[in-house]
Amino acid sequence: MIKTVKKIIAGSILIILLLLFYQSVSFAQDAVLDYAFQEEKYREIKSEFEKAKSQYLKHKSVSSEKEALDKTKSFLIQRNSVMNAYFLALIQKLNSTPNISSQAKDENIQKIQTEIKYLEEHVKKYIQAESLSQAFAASVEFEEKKPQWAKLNKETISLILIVKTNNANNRLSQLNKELKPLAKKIDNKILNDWLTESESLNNQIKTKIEAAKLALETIKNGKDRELEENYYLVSSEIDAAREIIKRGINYQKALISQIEGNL
Amino acid sequence: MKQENVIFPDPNLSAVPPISGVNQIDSPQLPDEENLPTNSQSSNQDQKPKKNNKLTYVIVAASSLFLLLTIVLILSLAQSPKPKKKVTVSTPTPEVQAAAQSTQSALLKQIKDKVLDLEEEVNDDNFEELDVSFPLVDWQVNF
Repeated sequence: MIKTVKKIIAGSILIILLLLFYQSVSFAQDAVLDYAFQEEKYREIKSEFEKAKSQYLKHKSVSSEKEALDKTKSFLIQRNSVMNAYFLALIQKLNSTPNISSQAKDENIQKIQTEIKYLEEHVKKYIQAESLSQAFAASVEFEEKKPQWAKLNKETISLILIVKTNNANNRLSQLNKELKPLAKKIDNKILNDWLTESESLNNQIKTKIEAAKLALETIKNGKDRELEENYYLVSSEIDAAREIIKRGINYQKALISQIEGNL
Repeated sequence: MKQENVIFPDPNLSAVPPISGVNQIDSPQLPDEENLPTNSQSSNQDQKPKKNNKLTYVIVAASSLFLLLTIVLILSLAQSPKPKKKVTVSTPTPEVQAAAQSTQSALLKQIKDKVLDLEEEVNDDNFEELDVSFPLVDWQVNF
Protein backbone atom coordinates (compact mmCIF):
# COMPACT_ATOMS: atom_id res chain seq x y z
CA MET A 1 0.00 0.00 0.00
CA ILE A 2 2.77 2.41 1.02
CA LYS A 3 4.71 1.45 -2.09
CA THR A 4 1.74 2.27 -4.31
CA VAL A 5 1.32 5.68 -2.64
CA LYS A 6 5.03 6.37 -3.15
CA LYS A 7 4.77 5.44 -6.83
CA ILE A 8 1.78 7.73 -7.30
CA ILE A 9 3.61 10.65 -5.62
CA ALA A 10 6.75 10.07 -7.70
CA GLY A 11 4.69 9.88 -10.90
CA SER A 12 2.84 13.07 -10.06
CA ILE A 13 6.09 14.95 -9.38
CA LEU A 14 7.47 13.73 -12.70
CA ILE A 15 4.39 14.88 -14.59
CA ILE A 16 4.50 18.32 -12.90
CA LEU A 17 8.19 18.70 -13.78
CA LEU A 18 7.53 17.73 -17.39
CA LEU A 19 4.68 20.23 -17.62
CA LEU A 20 6.85 23.01 -16.18
CA PHE A 21 9.63 22.16 -18.63
CA TYR A 22 7.23 22.14 -21.57
CA GLN A 23 5.76 25.46 -20.45
CA SER A 24 9.17 27.13 -20.23
CA VAL A 25 10.18 25.81 -23.64
CA SER A 26 6.96 26.91 -25.28
CA PHE A 27 7.27 30.31 -23.59
CA ALA A 28 10.71 30.73 -25.14
CA GLN A 29 9.40 29.73 -28.57
CA ASP A 30 6.42 32.05 -28.20
CA ALA A 31 8.45 35.17 -27.49
CA VAL A 32 9.21 35.77 -31.17
CA LEU A 33 5.65 34.91 -32.18
CA ASP A 34 4.30 37.25 -29.53
CA TYR A 35 6.46 40.05 -30.91
CA ALA A 36 4.93 39.53 -34.35
CA PHE A 37 1.46 39.44 -32.78
CA GLN A 38 2.03 42.69 -30.87
CA GLU A 39 3.23 44.42 -34.05
CA GLU A 40 0.11 43.31 -35.85
CA LYS A 41 -2.08 44.58 -33.02
CA TYR A 42 -0.16 47.87 -33.08
CA ARG A 43 -1.02 48.39 -36.74
CA GLU A 44 -4.73 47.80 -36.02
CA ILE A 45 -4.77 50.22 -33.11
CA LYS A 46 -2.79 52.75 -35.12
CA SER A 47 -5.52 52.94 -37.77
CA GLU A 48 -8.11 53.64 -35.02
CA PHE A 49 -5.79 56.28 -33.58
CA GLU A 50 -5.37 57.91 -37.00
CA LYS A 51 -9.17 58.11 -37.42
CA ALA A 52 -9.67 59.65 -33.99
CA LYS A 53 -6.86 62.09 -34.63
CA SER A 54 -8.35 63.29 -37.92
CA GLN A 55 -11.83 63.61 -36.29
CA TYR A 56 -10.38 65.68 -33.50
CA LEU A 57 -8.40 67.94 -35.83
CA LYS A 58 -11.48 68.35 -37.96
CA HIS A 59 -14.06 69.10 -35.24
CA LYS A 60 -12.03 70.09 -32.18
CA SER A 61 -15.06 69.14 -30.09
CA VAL A 62 -14.98 67.91 -26.49
CA SER A 63 -16.26 64.51 -27.47
CA SER A 64 -13.76 64.16 -30.30
CA GLU A 65 -11.00 65.25 -27.94
CA LYS A 66 -12.02 62.58 -25.41
CA GLU A 67 -12.11 59.99 -28.15
CA ALA A 68 -8.73 61.18 -29.42
CA LEU A 69 -7.25 60.93 -25.91
CA ASP A 70 -8.54 57.39 -25.42
CA LYS A 71 -7.24 56.24 -28.80
CA THR A 72 -3.90 58.01 -28.30
CA LYS A 73 -3.43 56.32 -24.92
CA SER A 74 -4.29 52.91 -26.38
CA PHE A 75 -1.94 53.55 -29.26
CA LEU A 76 0.97 54.58 -27.01
CA ILE A 77 0.35 51.68 -24.62
CA GLN A 78 0.44 49.30 -27.55
CA ARG A 79 3.66 50.85 -28.82
CA ASN A 80 5.07 50.19 -25.36
CA SER A 81 3.92 46.57 -25.61
CA VAL A 82 5.61 46.16 -29.00
CA MET A 83 8.89 47.36 -27.56
CA ASN A 84 8.48 45.09 -24.54
CA ALA A 85 7.73 42.07 -26.75
CA TYR A 86 10.72 42.95 -28.89
CA PHE A 87 13.06 42.89 -25.91
CA LEU A 88 11.64 39.55 -24.74
CA ALA A 89 12.19 38.14 -28.23
CA LEU A 90 15.79 39.34 -28.14
CA ILE A 91 16.35 37.56 -24.82
CA GLN A 92 14.84 34.43 -26.30
CA LYS A 93 17.18 34.67 -29.31
CA LEU A 94 20.16 35.08 -27.01
CA ASN A 95 19.11 32.06 -24.96
CA SER A 96 18.43 29.87 -27.97
CA THR A 97 21.71 30.59 -29.77
CA PRO A 98 24.26 27.98 -28.75
CA ASN A 99 27.82 28.81 -27.76
CA ILE A 100 27.37 32.44 -26.76
CA SER A 101 29.79 33.07 -23.92
CA SER A 102 27.93 33.33 -20.64
CA GLN A 103 29.58 36.66 -19.89
CA ALA A 104 28.45 38.27 -23.15
CA LYS A 105 24.99 36.75 -22.81
CA ASP A 106 24.52 37.88 -19.20
CA GLU A 107 25.76 41.36 -20.02
CA ASN A 108 23.25 41.73 -22.86
CA ILE A 109 20.35 40.22 -20.99
CA GLN A 110 20.99 42.50 -18.04
CA LYS A 111 20.88 45.58 -20.29
CA ILE A 112 17.67 44.37 -21.92
CA GLN A 113 16.00 43.62 -18.61
CA THR A 114 16.77 47.15 -17.41
CA GLU A 115 14.86 48.46 -20.43
CA ILE A 116 11.96 46.08 -19.81
CA LYS A 117 11.67 47.44 -16.27
CA TYR A 118 11.72 50.96 -17.67
CA LEU A 119 8.83 50.09 -20.01
CA GLU A 120 6.83 48.54 -17.16
CA GLU A 121 7.10 51.80 -15.25
CA HIS A 122 6.67 53.99 -18.28
CA VAL A 123 3.32 52.50 -19.31
CA LYS A 124 1.80 53.86 -16.08
CA LYS A 125 2.32 57.41 -17.37
CA TYR A 126 0.10 56.70 -20.39
CA ILE A 127 -2.55 55.10 -18.23
CA GLN A 128 -2.55 58.08 -15.86
CA ALA A 129 -2.50 60.75 -18.60
CA GLU A 130 -5.57 62.98 -18.33
CA SER A 131 -4.93 65.10 -21.37
CA LEU A 132 -3.40 64.82 -24.79
CA SER A 133 -0.51 67.04 -23.76
CA GLN A 134 0.31 64.70 -20.82
CA ALA A 135 0.17 61.70 -23.13
CA PHE A 136 2.46 63.39 -25.65
CA ALA A 137 4.89 64.43 -22.92
CA ALA A 138 5.17 60.79 -21.82
CA SER A 139 5.53 59.79 -25.47
CA VAL A 140 8.53 62.09 -25.89
CA GLU A 141 10.30 60.28 -23.03
CA PHE A 142 9.79 57.00 -24.85
CA GLU A 143 10.94 58.45 -28.17
CA GLU A 144 14.11 59.80 -26.63
CA LYS A 145 15.11 56.27 -25.76
CA LYS A 146 15.27 55.27 -29.42
CA PRO A 147 19.04 55.79 -29.95
CA GLN A 148 19.83 53.77 -26.81
CA TRP A 149 17.51 50.96 -27.83
CA ALA A 150 18.80 50.97 -31.40
CA LYS A 151 22.30 50.56 -30.04
CA LEU A 152 21.21 47.70 -27.79
CA ASN A 153 19.49 46.08 -30.77
CA LYS A 154 22.64 46.32 -32.94
CA GLU A 155 24.85 45.01 -30.14
CA THR A 156 22.63 42.01 -29.50
CA ILE A 157 21.98 41.18 -33.15
CA SER A 158 25.69 41.52 -33.97
CA LEU A 159 26.62 39.21 -31.13
CA ILE A 160 24.09 36.59 -32.23
CA LEU A 161 25.18 36.82 -35.87
CA ILE A 162 28.86 36.46 -35.01
CA VAL A 163 28.21 33.41 -32.83
CA LYS A 164 25.89 31.86 -35.43
CA THR A 165 28.51 32.32 -38.15
CA ASN A 166 31.21 30.91 -35.91
CA ASN A 167 29.01 27.90 -35.17
CA ALA A 168 28.45 27.35 -38.90
CA ASN A 169 32.19 27.57 -39.53
CA ASN A 170 32.87 25.01 -36.81
CA ARG A 171 30.36 22.66 -38.37
CA LEU A 172 31.98 23.12 -41.77
CA SER A 173 35.36 22.34 -40.26
CA GLN A 174 34.01 19.27 -38.48
CA LEU A 175 32.47 17.99 -41.72
CA ASN A 176 35.82 18.41 -43.46
CA LYS A 177 37.41 16.24 -40.78
CA GLU A 178 34.73 13.60 -41.23
CA LEU A 179 35.12 13.62 -45.00
CA LYS A 180 38.91 13.45 -44.96
CA PRO A 181 39.35 9.70 -44.30
CA LEU A 182 36.77 8.85 -46.94
CA ALA A 183 38.40 11.12 -49.52
CA LYS A 184 41.86 9.75 -48.70
CA LYS A 185 40.71 6.21 -49.44
CA ILE A 186 40.03 7.24 -52.99
CA ASP A 187 43.40 8.10 -54.39
CA ASN A 188 42.29 11.00 -56.49
CA LYS A 189 44.22 14.27 -56.66
CA ILE A 190 41.21 16.39 -57.51
CA LEU A 191 39.29 15.11 -54.49
CA ASN A 192 42.18 15.87 -52.20
CA ASP A 193 42.55 19.32 -53.74
CA TRP A 194 38.89 20.05 -53.09
CA LEU A 195 39.25 18.91 -49.53
CA THR A 196 42.32 21.09 -49.03
CA GLU A 197 40.49 24.03 -50.53
CA SER A 198 37.50 23.50 -48.27
CA GLU A 199 39.80 23.28 -45.25
CA SER A 200 41.59 26.50 -46.20
CA LEU A 201 38.25 28.32 -46.31
CA ASN A 202 37.89 27.82 -42.56
CA ASN A 203 40.73 30.23 -41.95
CA GLN A 204 39.28 32.82 -44.30
CA ILE A 205 35.98 32.63 -42.44
CA LYS A 206 37.76 33.02 -39.11
CA THR A 207 39.40 36.22 -40.38
CA LYS A 208 36.00 37.63 -41.33
CA ILE A 209 34.55 36.71 -37.95
CA GLU A 210 37.43 38.43 -36.16
CA ALA A 211 36.80 41.57 -38.23
CA ALA A 212 33.11 41.44 -37.29
CA LYS A 213 34.07 41.12 -33.61
CA LEU A 214 36.18 44.27 -33.88
CA ALA A 215 33.27 46.11 -35.45
CA LEU A 216 31.04 44.93 -32.60
CA GLU A 217 33.44 46.51 -30.12
CA THR A 218 33.14 49.80 -31.98
CA ILE A 219 29.35 49.52 -31.76
CA LYS A 220 29.61 49.10 -28.00
CA ASN A 221 32.13 51.85 -27.42
CA GLY A 222 31.60 54.11 -30.43
CA LYS A 223 29.41 57.15 -30.87
CA ASP A 224 25.70 56.81 -31.57
CA ARG A 225 26.01 58.58 -34.91
CA GLU A 226 28.52 55.94 -36.05
CA LEU A 227 26.17 53.11 -35.09
CA GLU A 228 24.78 52.39 -38.53
CA GLU A 229 28.21 52.56 -40.10
CA ASN A 230 29.67 50.14 -37.54
CA TYR A 231 26.73 47.79 -37.84
CA TYR A 232 27.20 47.83 -41.60
CA LEU A 233 30.77 46.64 -41.03
CA VAL A 234 29.57 43.73 -38.87
CA SER A 235 26.89 42.88 -41.37
CA SER A 236 29.20 42.97 -44.38
CA GLU A 237 31.85 40.82 -42.68
CA ILE A 238 29.19 38.29 -41.70
CA ASP A 239 27.83 38.34 -45.24
CA ALA A 240 31.29 37.66 -46.64
CA ALA A 241 31.85 34.84 -44.12
CA ARG A 242 28.51 33.33 -45.08
CA GLU A 243 29.43 33.37 -48.76
CA ILE A 244 32.69 31.56 -47.99
CA ILE A 245 30.80 28.97 -45.93
CA LYS A 246 28.54 28.41 -48.94
CA ARG A 247 31.60 27.81 -51.10
CA GLY A 248 32.90 25.31 -48.55
CA ILE A 249 29.56 23.53 -48.59
CA ASN A 250 29.68 23.31 -52.38
CA TYR A 251 33.13 21.70 -52.21
CA GLN A 252 31.83 19.22 -49.66
CA LYS A 253 28.79 18.37 -51.77
CA ALA A 254 31.01 17.76 -54.79
CA LEU A 255 33.32 15.59 -52.68
CA ILE A 256 30.42 13.54 -51.37
CA SER A 257 29.10 13.04 -54.86
CA GLN A 258 32.50 11.82 -56.09
CA ILE A 259 32.98 9.50 -53.11
CA GLU A 260 29.50 8.07 -53.65
CA GLY A 261 30.45 7.26 -57.23
CA ASN A 262 33.57 5.46 -56.09
CA LEU A 263 32.02 3.33 -53.36
CA MET B 1 107.61 -20.98 12.37
CA LYS B 2 104.29 -20.75 14.08
CA GLN B 3 103.54 -17.68 12.00
CA GLU B 4 104.21 -19.63 8.79
CA ASN B 5 101.87 -22.32 10.01
CA VAL B 6 99.22 -19.73 10.48
CA ILE B 7 99.53 -18.40 6.90
CA PHE B 8 100.09 -21.60 4.96
CA PRO B 9 98.86 -24.48 7.05
CA ASP B 10 98.23 -26.57 3.98
CA PRO B 11 101.14 -27.19 1.65
CA ASN B 12 98.73 -27.52 -1.28
CA LEU B 13 97.56 -23.97 -0.85
CA SER B 14 101.04 -22.54 -1.08
CA ALA B 15 100.66 -22.44 -4.89
CA VAL B 16 98.06 -19.69 -4.57
CA PRO B 17 99.74 -16.36 -5.26
CA PRO B 18 100.07 -14.12 -2.26
CA ILE B 19 97.39 -11.56 -1.81
CA SER B 20 98.58 -8.05 -1.52
CA GLY B 21 98.49 -7.03 2.08
CA VAL B 22 98.31 -10.56 3.34
CA ASN B 23 102.04 -10.70 3.88
CA GLN B 24 101.92 -7.38 5.63
CA ILE B 25 99.52 -8.71 8.19
CA ASP B 26 100.88 -8.07 11.60
CA SER B 27 102.06 -11.16 13.33
CA PRO B 28 99.22 -12.58 15.32
CA GLN B 29 99.57 -12.59 19.06
CA LEU B 30 100.84 -15.92 20.21
CA PRO B 31 98.39 -17.71 22.41
CA ASP B 32 99.26 -18.90 25.83
CA GLU B 33 100.96 -22.25 26.07
CA GLU B 34 97.96 -23.97 27.70
CA ASN B 35 95.48 -22.48 25.18
CA LEU B 36 97.57 -23.37 22.22
CA PRO B 37 95.48 -25.40 19.83
CA THR B 38 96.58 -28.73 18.54
CA ASN B 39 98.18 -28.88 15.17
CA SER B 40 95.07 -30.04 13.39
CA GLN B 41 92.83 -27.46 15.07
CA SER B 42 95.01 -24.53 14.21
CA SER B 43 95.27 -25.62 10.58
CA ASN B 44 91.42 -25.66 10.11
CA GLN B 45 90.82 -22.27 11.67
CA ASP B 46 93.61 -20.42 9.90
CA GLN B 47 92.64 -21.82 6.51
CA LYS B 48 89.27 -19.95 6.46
CA PRO B 49 90.41 -16.38 5.50
CA LYS B 50 92.48 -17.75 2.65
CA LYS B 51 89.56 -19.82 1.35
CA ASN B 52 87.30 -16.79 1.55
CA ASN B 53 89.75 -14.77 -0.49
CA LYS B 54 89.89 -17.43 -3.12
CA LEU B 55 86.12 -17.62 -3.23
CA THR B 56 85.93 -13.85 -3.68
CA TYR B 57 88.32 -14.11 -6.62
CA VAL B 58 86.18 -16.76 -8.21
CA ILE B 59 82.94 -14.79 -7.70
CA VAL B 60 84.44 -11.56 -9.05
CA ALA B 61 85.87 -13.34 -12.04
CA ALA B 62 82.60 -15.12 -12.76
CA SER B 63 80.59 -11.89 -12.40
CA SER B 64 82.93 -10.01 -14.71
CA LEU B 65 82.72 -12.75 -17.26
CA PHE B 66 78.95 -12.80 -17.01
CA LEU B 67 78.77 -9.03 -17.36
CA LEU B 68 81.09 -9.09 -20.35
CA LEU B 69 79.07 -11.81 -22.02
CA THR B 70 75.87 -9.88 -21.38
CA ILE B 71 77.30 -6.71 -22.94
CA VAL B 72 78.54 -8.68 -25.95
CA LEU B 73 75.15 -10.29 -26.30
CA ILE B 74 73.29 -6.95 -26.10
CA LEU B 75 75.62 -5.37 -28.64
CA SER B 76 75.28 -8.24 -31.02
CA LEU B 77 71.49 -8.18 -30.70
CA ALA B 78 71.39 -4.44 -31.28
CA GLN B 79 73.48 -4.69 -34.43
CA SER B 80 71.81 -7.71 -35.90
CA PRO B 81 69.05 -6.91 -38.42
CA LYS B 82 65.54 -7.21 -37.08
CA PRO B 83 63.67 -10.19 -38.28
CA LYS B 84 61.21 -9.22 -40.91
CA LYS B 85 57.60 -9.53 -39.93
CA LYS B 86 55.73 -11.88 -42.05
CA VAL B 87 53.14 -9.93 -43.97
CA THR B 88 50.21 -11.99 -44.84
CA VAL B 89 47.96 -10.47 -47.41
CA SER B 90 44.57 -11.88 -47.15
CA THR B 91 41.93 -10.98 -49.65
CA PRO B 92 38.72 -9.95 -47.89
CA THR B 93 35.79 -12.09 -48.62
CA PRO B 94 32.94 -10.57 -50.66
CA GLU B 95 30.82 -10.50 -47.49
CA VAL B 96 33.47 -8.50 -45.64
CA GLN B 97 33.86 -6.16 -48.61
CA ALA B 98 30.12 -5.65 -48.82
CA ALA B 99 29.89 -4.95 -45.08
CA ALA B 100 32.71 -2.39 -45.26
CA GLN B 101 31.10 -0.70 -48.24
CA SER B 102 27.76 -0.57 -46.49
CA THR B 103 29.35 1.01 -43.40
CA GLN B 104 31.04 3.62 -45.58
CA SER B 105 27.81 4.35 -47.39
CA ALA B 106 25.99 4.84 -44.10
CA LEU B 107 28.74 7.14 -42.87
CA LEU B 108 28.68 9.14 -46.07
CA LYS B 109 24.91 9.45 -45.84
CA GLN B 110 25.21 10.88 -42.32
CA ILE B 111 27.80 13.41 -43.46
CA LYS B 112 25.69 14.35 -46.45
CA ASP B 113 22.67 15.02 -44.23
CA LYS B 114 24.76 17.24 -41.99
CA VAL B 115 26.10 19.17 -44.98
CA LEU B 116 22.56 19.70 -46.27
CA ASP B 117 21.41 20.87 -42.83
CA LEU B 118 24.23 23.38 -42.72
CA GLU B 119 23.44 24.56 -46.23
CA GLU B 120 19.80 25.08 -45.32
CA GLU B 121 20.73 27.10 -42.26
CA VAL B 122 23.25 29.28 -44.06
CA ASN B 123 20.92 29.92 -47.00
CA ASP B 124 18.02 30.82 -44.74
CA ASP B 125 16.97 34.44 -45.20
CA ASN B 126 16.44 34.65 -41.47
CA PHE B 127 20.10 33.92 -40.85
CA GLU B 128 20.65 37.66 -40.51
CA GLU B 129 17.14 38.91 -39.87
CA LEU B 130 16.61 36.58 -36.91
CA ASP B 131 12.83 37.32 -36.99
CA VAL B 132 13.50 40.17 -34.62
CA SER B 133 14.19 43.30 -36.64
CA PHE B 134 13.90 46.57 -34.76
CA PRO B 135 10.23 47.59 -34.27
CA LEU B 136 8.74 49.68 -37.03
CA VAL B 137 6.71 51.87 -34.72
CA ASP B 138 6.07 55.59 -34.85
CA TRP B 139 8.80 57.52 -33.10
CA GLN B 140 7.02 60.84 -33.17
CA VAL B 141 3.45 60.89 -31.95
CA ASN B 142 1.81 64.27 -31.83
CA PHE B 143 -1.04 66.19 -33.34
